[in-house]
Amino acid sequence: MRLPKFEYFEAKTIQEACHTLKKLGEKARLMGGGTDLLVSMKQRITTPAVVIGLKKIPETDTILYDSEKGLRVGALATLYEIERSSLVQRNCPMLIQAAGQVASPALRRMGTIGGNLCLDSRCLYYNQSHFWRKSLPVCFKQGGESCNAVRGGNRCYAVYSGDLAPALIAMEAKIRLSDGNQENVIPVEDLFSGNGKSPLTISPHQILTDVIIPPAHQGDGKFLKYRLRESIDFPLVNVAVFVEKAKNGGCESGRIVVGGIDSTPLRMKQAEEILRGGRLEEDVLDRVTKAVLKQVHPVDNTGGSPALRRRMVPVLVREALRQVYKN
Amino acid sequence: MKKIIRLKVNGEIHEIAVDPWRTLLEVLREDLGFTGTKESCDLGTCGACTVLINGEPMLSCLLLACEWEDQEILTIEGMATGGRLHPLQESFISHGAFQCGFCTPGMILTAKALLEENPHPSEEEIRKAISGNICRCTGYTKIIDAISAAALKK
Repeated sequence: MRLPKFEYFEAKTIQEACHTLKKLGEKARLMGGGTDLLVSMKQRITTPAVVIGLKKIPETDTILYDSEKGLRVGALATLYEIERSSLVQRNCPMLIQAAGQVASPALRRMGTIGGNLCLDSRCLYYNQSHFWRKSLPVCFKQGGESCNAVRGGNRCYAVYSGDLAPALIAMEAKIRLSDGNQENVIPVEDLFSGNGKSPLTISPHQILTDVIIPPAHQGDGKFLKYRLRESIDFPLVNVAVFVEKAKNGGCESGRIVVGGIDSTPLRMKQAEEILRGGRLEEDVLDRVTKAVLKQVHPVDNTGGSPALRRRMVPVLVREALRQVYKN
Repeated sequence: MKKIIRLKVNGEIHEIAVDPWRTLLEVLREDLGFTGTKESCDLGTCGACTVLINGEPMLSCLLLACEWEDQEILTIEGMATGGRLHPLQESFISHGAFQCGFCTPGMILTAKALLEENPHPSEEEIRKAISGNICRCTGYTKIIDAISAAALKK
């Protein structure tokens, strides 16, 4: 499949990229690694007049650690660089678990952390060639008035399939956004709108420049991913748990995040309440997984059946919590 | 608008005019004649278009040619030196590690990058390294055997 025609603009600074983005509005798209954008362009899901390349902006791929502020990862750092970084290994092993399970080894050398966070939501009835899509009504995601995945559905159910976001949310990470003049820092959780049609809250003039992960101290996390094949594929379900352990070996507080089910990574707040203050025994795990199950309602729009994806959520949550406590 | 770029492929510099929307795969195959780099899914899923850029395996179907000026690009045509096949190529032949051969350039280049980084990989490490390269003929056993044997000879 050929790419549609476009002009390429190589940005040298963040300011320059933001300025161009402002000038061109919706006609322009930002490109980091390009592994999500170029596929969408080949499928004519998006056809920007201008692609703004970010790769040549200096110092946007640096990984730094500060014992007070935590880990700072530039948005253009590739997933492979993160996987191989001793700084990340020492200070944030869950990020390596998540980055190391994205797509395939070659794609991880191309795709970036910023691009993975800003992944567009996906649906079996949307991420197809133009020819394939032509046979179905125009859906919400394409600007239409119906959903091809859920009959009678009144919104877009496209799934957010990023692997890093659940892990980053569980670790209470933040992102820095820049519009060229001003910067602001928001929790990763606030990046997601919950709306399948436009899953990100980032404004059209902003660029994600850094990811900041606070120091873990007493905490420990685990990321698990379930997919059709053990490589290449997007998740059918992914789960990230992060637990701050109490001195008595119990759980002071914990966060559980589930991805691949809804248009946003889901925080399992009810289950987190059950975890808080308790010890990790079988009856607590039973209550946690029951609470988790109440919150997940996948529809038939990715590779696995919704029933399988739903059933796998408590399995993965239980396993992740067990592994955290084994350490 | 076309831009004149210098692509360094297999150690040789090629100065060509390319449109921004052309992928590295298209330019390698259609403009420079390196047809050993294969086009299959063209969406980053199969690994047939793998090339090494500065020693790292990447998928040329999802790279814009204009972004890779002056980088060391290696295709399967650059593996043999002085008229002699690379030990990995020899090993693929002696183990019969292909049937239709379409995945082979990507497999061999991916294996080369693996062995440069990890000269004695375990079977699991080999399986992980080639997990993004899909073979639809023989299965992977002989491919893994060929890579292991080449590693032993190193």
